[in-house]
Amino acid sequence: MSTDTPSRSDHSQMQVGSGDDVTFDEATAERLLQLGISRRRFMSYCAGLASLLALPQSVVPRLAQAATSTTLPSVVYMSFQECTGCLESMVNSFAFGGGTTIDNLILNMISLDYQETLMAAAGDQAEAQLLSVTAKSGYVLVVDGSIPARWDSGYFISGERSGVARFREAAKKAALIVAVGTCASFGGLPKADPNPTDARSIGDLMANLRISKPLINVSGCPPIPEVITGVILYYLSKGMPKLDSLRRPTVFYGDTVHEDCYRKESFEEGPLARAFDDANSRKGKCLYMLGCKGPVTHNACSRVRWNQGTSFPMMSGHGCIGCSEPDFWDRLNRNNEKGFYIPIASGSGHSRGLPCNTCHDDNGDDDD
Amino acid sequence: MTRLSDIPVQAEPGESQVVESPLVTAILNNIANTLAQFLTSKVATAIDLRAVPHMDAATYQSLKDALSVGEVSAKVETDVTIEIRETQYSGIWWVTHRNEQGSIVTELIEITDLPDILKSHVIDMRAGLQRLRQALAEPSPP
Ligand code: SF4
Ligand code: SF4
Repeated sequence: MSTDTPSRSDHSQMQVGSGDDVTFDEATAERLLQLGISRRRFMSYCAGLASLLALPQSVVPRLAQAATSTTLPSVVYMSFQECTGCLESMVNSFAFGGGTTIDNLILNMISLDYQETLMAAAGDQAEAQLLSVTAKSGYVLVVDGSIPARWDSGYFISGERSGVARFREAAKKAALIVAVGTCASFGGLPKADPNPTDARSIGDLMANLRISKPLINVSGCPPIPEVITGVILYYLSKGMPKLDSLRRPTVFYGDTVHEDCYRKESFEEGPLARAFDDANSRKGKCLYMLGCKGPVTHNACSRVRWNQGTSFPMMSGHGCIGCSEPDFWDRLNRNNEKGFYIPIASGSGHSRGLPCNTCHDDNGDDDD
Repeated sequence: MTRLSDIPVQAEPGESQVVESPLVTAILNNIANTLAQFLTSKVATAIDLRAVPHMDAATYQSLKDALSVGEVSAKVETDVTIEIRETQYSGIWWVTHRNEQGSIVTELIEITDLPDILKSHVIDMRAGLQRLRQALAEPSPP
């Protein structure tokens, strides 16, 4: 199912096309002209996107074609036990406000045929719309939220049908299922202890229901908007991305947040921040002792950043809470304690190969 | 008026730097091979600096210094800015894409005779021609 996408280092150098060619084909250039978008501006956008997606620059014309195509793939976006934060993240970051901005164009490259929060239809009308769009094959089913495992538990009923029934029906003719957010990918908050609704991730539910369809998990609470759009654009232009063992695209989830964190030097060499906003924290020292889960959290926050590339949490002095990993609410940390502000590991310093005095006064004891 | 003898025969090449980093030497060798290939195949190539592993600030700067700057520079200005600069080696271009805030989003070394971003597209040229003809057809103000 996964493609042989080259690793980041493999495609640092790639052909961009024949020296005699102008990169975009006539149809793409024509469409951009119609939309009033500068072709060079769009080329720059696609070059950035290719770089972000760790794709060769030779893919730029294909990305452009996918984004400007007039035959739009149908997307059915269903929500279950969730907080609408994933959709909110996407909508706030990309211009839904009209106009022909580039980001708007990216959202317009799909035909969003069903989305309860955004669509004008409600009630019976919305249900009829869902049935009609899922009657045809080949749509992309985007799901946010987890689903109670038992159809008769009484939790999550919508349109007089249980979550299980709604999902099973909608999945039948889907070409691809994308679980957006940690709730859909791994169960998230609804599945946190004591998991009162017996919530399941989409992947687990698919296994229970014996649904075998391609599944991509785009985890995060919420996921980074550029990651959601990037995954869709990748699928449209290149097919299935390479996935990690948790079915997340490696291009965004291959590295931990810690890899590109600017506080990493002091993680290795000390000193570490000991309290929020203490002198070390203000000097950009590592937040590990304040519970930062960056070293065990696979996500692109420190690389892609949030709010159109402005920053990521550690830049505001707060550690990563591990939101893109399974069961992050209930993670057991040092001394088997749960909590966002408890350091990850027991034996924190030694297990990372740090000198003892990085974390504590070395009184000759071996253990942290 | 400038006399022919006042025009330098060649642009001053940038200061040749002693390259100390093995990574920079490897990239420069790679660029040299790619340029040689371009001369025979005419296939343009781009090196994405973000995708070069272990590219720290010092390595980046020594690569930039080693390539230095040549005669040609151009700027595409829309809501973002793209700076295109030929290096001291003809056919090797340093292309920097900046966002609205001026931060670098993408940086490429392109090995080609002219980066695609600078070329005009036939569709845009046709549209330009139409607009120009329209402008010429409008009666000029008295
Ligand atoms: S602040 Fe967190 S992510 Fe950054 S270096 Fe420290 S442990 Fe790693
Ligand atoms: S820094 Fe960590 S907690 Fe914050 S969004 Fe990124 S992965 Fe989630």
